[in-house]
Amino acid sequence: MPITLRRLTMIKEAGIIGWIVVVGLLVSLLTPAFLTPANLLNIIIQSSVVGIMAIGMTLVILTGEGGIDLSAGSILGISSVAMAMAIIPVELYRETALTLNLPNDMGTIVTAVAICLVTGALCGLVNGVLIAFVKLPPFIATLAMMSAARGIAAYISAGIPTYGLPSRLVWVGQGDILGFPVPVLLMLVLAAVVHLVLTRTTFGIALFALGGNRETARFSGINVKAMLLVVYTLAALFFAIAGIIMSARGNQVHPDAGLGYELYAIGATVIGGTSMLGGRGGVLGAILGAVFMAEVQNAINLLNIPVAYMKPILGLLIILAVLLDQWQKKRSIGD
Amino acid sequence: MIDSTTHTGSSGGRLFGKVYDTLGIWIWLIVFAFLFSLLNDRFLLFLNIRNILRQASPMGIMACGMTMVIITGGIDLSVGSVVSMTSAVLGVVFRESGNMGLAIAAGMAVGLGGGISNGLLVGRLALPPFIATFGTMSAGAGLAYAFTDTSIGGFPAWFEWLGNGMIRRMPIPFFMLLAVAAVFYLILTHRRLGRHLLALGGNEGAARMAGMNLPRLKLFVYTANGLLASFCGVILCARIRSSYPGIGQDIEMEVIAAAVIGGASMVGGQGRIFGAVGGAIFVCMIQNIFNLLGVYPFMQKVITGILIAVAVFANELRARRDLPPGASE
Amino acid sequence: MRRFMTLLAVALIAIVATLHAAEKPKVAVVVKTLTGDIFQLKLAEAARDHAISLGAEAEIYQAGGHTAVQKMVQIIEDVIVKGVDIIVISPLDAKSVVPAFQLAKEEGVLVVCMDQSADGDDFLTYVATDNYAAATLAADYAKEILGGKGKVMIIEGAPGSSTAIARRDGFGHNVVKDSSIVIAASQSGYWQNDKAMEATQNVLQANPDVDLIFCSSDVMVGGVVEAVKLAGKEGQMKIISFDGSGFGMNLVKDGRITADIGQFPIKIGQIAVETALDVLSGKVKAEDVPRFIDSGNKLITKDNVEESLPDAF
Repeated sequence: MPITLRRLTMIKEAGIIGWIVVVGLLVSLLTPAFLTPANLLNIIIQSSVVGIMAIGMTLVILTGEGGIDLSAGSILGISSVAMAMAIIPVELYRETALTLNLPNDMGTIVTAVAICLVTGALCGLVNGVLIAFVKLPPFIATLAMMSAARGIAAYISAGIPTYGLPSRLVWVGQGDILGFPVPVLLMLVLAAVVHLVLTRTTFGIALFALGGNRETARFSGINVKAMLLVVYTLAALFFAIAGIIMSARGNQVHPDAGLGYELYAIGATVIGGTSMLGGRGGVLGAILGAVFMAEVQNAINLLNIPVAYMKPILGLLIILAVLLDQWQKKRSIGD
Repeated sequence: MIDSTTHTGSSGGRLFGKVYDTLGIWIWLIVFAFLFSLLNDRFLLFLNIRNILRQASPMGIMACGMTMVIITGGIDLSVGSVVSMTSAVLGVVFRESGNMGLAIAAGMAVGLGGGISNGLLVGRLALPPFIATFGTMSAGAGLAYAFTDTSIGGFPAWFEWLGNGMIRRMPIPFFMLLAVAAVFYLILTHRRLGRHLLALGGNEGAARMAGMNLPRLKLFVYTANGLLASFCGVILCARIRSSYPGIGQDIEMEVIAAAVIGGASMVGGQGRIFGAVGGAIFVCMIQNIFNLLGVYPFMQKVITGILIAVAVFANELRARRDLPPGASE
Repeated sequence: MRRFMTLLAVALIAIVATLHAAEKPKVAVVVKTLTGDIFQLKLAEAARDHAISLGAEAEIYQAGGHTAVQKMVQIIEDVIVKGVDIIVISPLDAKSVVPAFQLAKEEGVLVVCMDQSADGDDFLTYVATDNYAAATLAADYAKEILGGKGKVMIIEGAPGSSTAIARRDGFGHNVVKDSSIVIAASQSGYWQNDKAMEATQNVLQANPDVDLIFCSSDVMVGGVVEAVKLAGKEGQMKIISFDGSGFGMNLVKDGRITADIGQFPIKIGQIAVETALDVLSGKVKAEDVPRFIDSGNKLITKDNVEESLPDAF
């Protein structure tokens, strides 16, 4: 028995799974509404936007040397606005009076999604260039992008949110395949792919090496600049995908979409066990971190706790989770 | 940084390099001030300069503290929350007791408490600074609203004087900024403490080997930073003669930008107190010229983003020249 | 010679233009935020456009968030230095702008509040919807359609916003008065669509039997509607929203929400600017302007939505 327990604690994600279970048990003691299949599904669906962002954020943080993307929320915003602009005819855009019933023209939808992804990737590329070639600290480069992308999103949309997307696009956020919600499937597939890439490919090995020690990585022949460029672009692509899901789920595109979400994504990543110093962590933990954050939000809504306590609870849990993670790491080294 | 311009060729270039190294962001401040004065004839009016200095003072004070934190290789995301919470506590204590002095003391206690928590989390428990202060940032932002979700007013007139008053036609917060900057400048350049902090940021392992008490150094830095943030919370409350639980929201990003624009290196071991002051003035000056020109708000964000990147890039150029020629990028 | 004449002409035109520009009154329109908040956006645009049509110069400024009080103070200080004659402003909060308003008064700048008032008496007048009264209207209607009993939930605006508090309390205090209605939950949607959607979904997990949802703003009601639809309660659960935007009114028209409380930002912006310009030109004496100008509110239901739509913003 103690052996299996110890083996359990050796799993990288054990800490965060433990947190999810503990909070879940506590809340289900307080309200019967928590532990129902519908509510649990609800939590997982709600975690999908932050979860997908956290996949991208994990890649960025793994690069180490202060790797971070503060522009995540803004990139989500600008790419969803770009998508909306491609779908909604210009003459209707300022007609906020209309609940648009747009036709399900697959051509338009595919183009719009492509534009969304390209916009996101371009922002990420600029981040990558600023960091790899201009050599700005990631914090500053992405802070600048955070401000600029949000400004452009507001500028091209004139500040106006739009409601009513084509129903095929809304399906991406609200629909299901054989009972499995599409956003959750999307999150799981993306996480699985990235997990395999990180653990089974040379790209993954190179990324961990980069975060472990950049000088050593350089000497062992890894093209650091190219890596940074790819990682920041990829991350932004994930933020754009999260933007599609958020828009489709709410059936609305908002120029302030994703405001402050970079912090949720960073929180989920870190709670999930990825080290801020880089070189250690993974996407599965990040997804679980996002689920955990959605769980806390859900509990607060279910128990009707004043919202002011949401952030303190999250803050405390983040600190505790990372402390526990450090303790666990020390123990596993001790063995 | 002492004499690092050996590879700058001619003596004229060397002189320029030296001046550039010493003045840093202040050169850019002058260049931009000149450009802005061409754009708007009111920009260089005494009234406007005083305006900018008053607005930049609280941010400048926080940027001094942030520079110290960044020098040790850390970061403090919680300053905005400390400002918010100081404001909330100050308001509630004043409403309950009617005693302004007590209210200010209680507000400052927030910064002390927050700073000590950060210092212990980073120093003793060895949490990464980003995480520790991220946690306290979330906690503080929410707790401020838990204390009071509305603004509280009715503060005495002398309290407002702390923020909006003037001595010899200069704003009082500006004198506070000068005092704080002078103290931290002296600590950083003339005291053993300063040398230890720089050593800690330059190479933490070596600093530990040299027998420095790292947890205590970190505790000092984060506590000082928390206190300064609280102090600014008080000044900002004085400026609006009321307390508001959301007043510090997003301030941390501007403060960090000011410190880095001023020459602090995010990897630690390097930073300039008066550079940070210049950085704060730079950030406020941009906002000011937008308002004078009436630039439409959406474009402001775009231009601000670009200017932050450009300003830091300009400083990085200097830092890069500091590297001996042998060291690859 | 010809070139000289051209230059002279250009110079003259420039001088005349500057002189002329100097005569124009300058107006600064300061609002909370312009992104995603149609109410503030239309308010700002209406004030600016009306000022320009009345022969003034006008520009829009935003504090950039619902808690950015010190940014708002900085804007006021900066536009005073800029030399504006009039500031029409939608304060974030009643207290934080008081010292800045005092400064404006000392410098002889006229201030008019829109949508949200301020403490003290350093501003000319205050033009707005009475949010508490308007939310009371929603509460009365809720009591009527629920027959005095049932379960309601409230989606609030952002914490700390006095508008959010007035609407929450106006509805919450009055819906339970003289009725057996209970408030199942009151949660914040942060003036954000996605946050409102998540809060609604979560509350509905605990209280699937809610009869009516009061949503504090049209900017969030889209999320509430989606959440109710996904819960399979469309048509059963009643929704009352607040704002009277074109979006909200069309939802009423389509029968997707029950009612919307209409307010009139375009009217607010126009009245504010016009009053200030009249006082500046001496057409009206400052002491003759009332302290509060109610821009009105209106309950919009399926019965009167067609006639109300032209007033929508």
